[in-house]
Amino acid sequence: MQPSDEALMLRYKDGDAAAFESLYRRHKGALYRYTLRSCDSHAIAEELFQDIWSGVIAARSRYTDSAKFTTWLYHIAHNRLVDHYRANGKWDEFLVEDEVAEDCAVAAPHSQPEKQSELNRQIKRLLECIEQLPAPQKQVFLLKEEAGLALEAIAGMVKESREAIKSRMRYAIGKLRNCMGDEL
Amino acid sequence: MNDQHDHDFGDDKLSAIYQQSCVEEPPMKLDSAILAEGRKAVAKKGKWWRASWITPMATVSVAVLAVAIGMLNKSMVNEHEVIMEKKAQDAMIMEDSAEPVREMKSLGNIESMRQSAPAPKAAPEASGMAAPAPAPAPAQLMEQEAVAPAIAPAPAMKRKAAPAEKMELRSREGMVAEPQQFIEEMDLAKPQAKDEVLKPEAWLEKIRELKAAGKDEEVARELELFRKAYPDYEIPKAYLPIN
Repeated sequence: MQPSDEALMLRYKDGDAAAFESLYRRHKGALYRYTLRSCDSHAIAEELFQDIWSGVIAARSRYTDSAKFTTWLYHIAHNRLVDHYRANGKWDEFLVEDEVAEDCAVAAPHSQPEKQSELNRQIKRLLECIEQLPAPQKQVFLLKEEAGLALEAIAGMVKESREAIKSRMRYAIGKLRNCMGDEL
Repeated sequence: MNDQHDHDFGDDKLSAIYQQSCVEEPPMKLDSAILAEGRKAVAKKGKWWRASWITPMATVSVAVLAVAIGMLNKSMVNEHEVIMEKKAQDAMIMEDSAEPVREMKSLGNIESMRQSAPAPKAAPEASGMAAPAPAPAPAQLMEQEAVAPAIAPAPAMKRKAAPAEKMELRSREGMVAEPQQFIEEMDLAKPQAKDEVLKPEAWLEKIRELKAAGKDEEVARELELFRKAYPDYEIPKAYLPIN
């Protein structure tokens, strides 16, 4: 039976470097995709990704198993992302709530139809639609899908009410469905 | 906790499609850099000076060292006090030893030194030499008795060792003023020590006999000693040398 994330993090806190490696390999993919989908480019995503893990390493002494490791990890990640948006003058984008799902017109980047499997087309389309989501809705969607966080955890992380987060997710889903159109 | 409303939090179909898209992974160089940073962070923590036990051990070590230094300092102080006390005692002993010497010097009485030494054998001879010696004058007896007790407390003052002791005392400051005088006196006293302590009349009789025998040098010497021993005694002219 593999140790839990919390146990690994506590061992790393006590100086076990191997525990950190196990944690990293478990969560690197999801966290990388979260930063990738939240940013404009791969380069910025990689920079943020490394910065997030540096934050984890630096804050290891303050970690306690009172909270889930994934909640704690994505809390650091979200804060780094907010700092990035603020530093780049995109903080307004992070706050904009586009709640008009029906009016979302997402243009496909490639107008030419491609011979791809239906799944591949759906995946590709979905990713494009997610990219078009407003930052607050995108965050809620990604934190649920990549981090597996529950409604309450997301609400606490972004410092919003439970109902606000629920509403945000509802609008995100609506926009994605509209964007997917026939592909869904 | 999830309630009924949380069930529709998200979209199952969209989630299924999205999960199929989760293929992106960070590049390997990024993995290496992050893992190296993670190892380095805890490697620093492993340094001996950051060990959790180092602070208590250092505290205990400092405390033990402080106690040891305190005890060593105390023993050194005690040792110094012992040395000083011993020196003081030695000084007192030497001072006590010098008392009889000073007393004899003040009295100027060689016979007092002869009396302090045990000379029981000399008594009969002295008696023989001074056969017609008169009984000691009461004043002289009192003087001798007064001197003897004063000398008694210094058993270390043995007669034969007196010159050497005088020499030793001479080495100490202010103990003996005229050591040569004592040496001479002791040398002169040696022959007499074999005889008993002569009273003035007996002594003069002896001097007369020496004079009659023509031993002028001895006569002069004895007269000199007599005068020192009995400065107030009027020596009859018959006993004085002709020149």
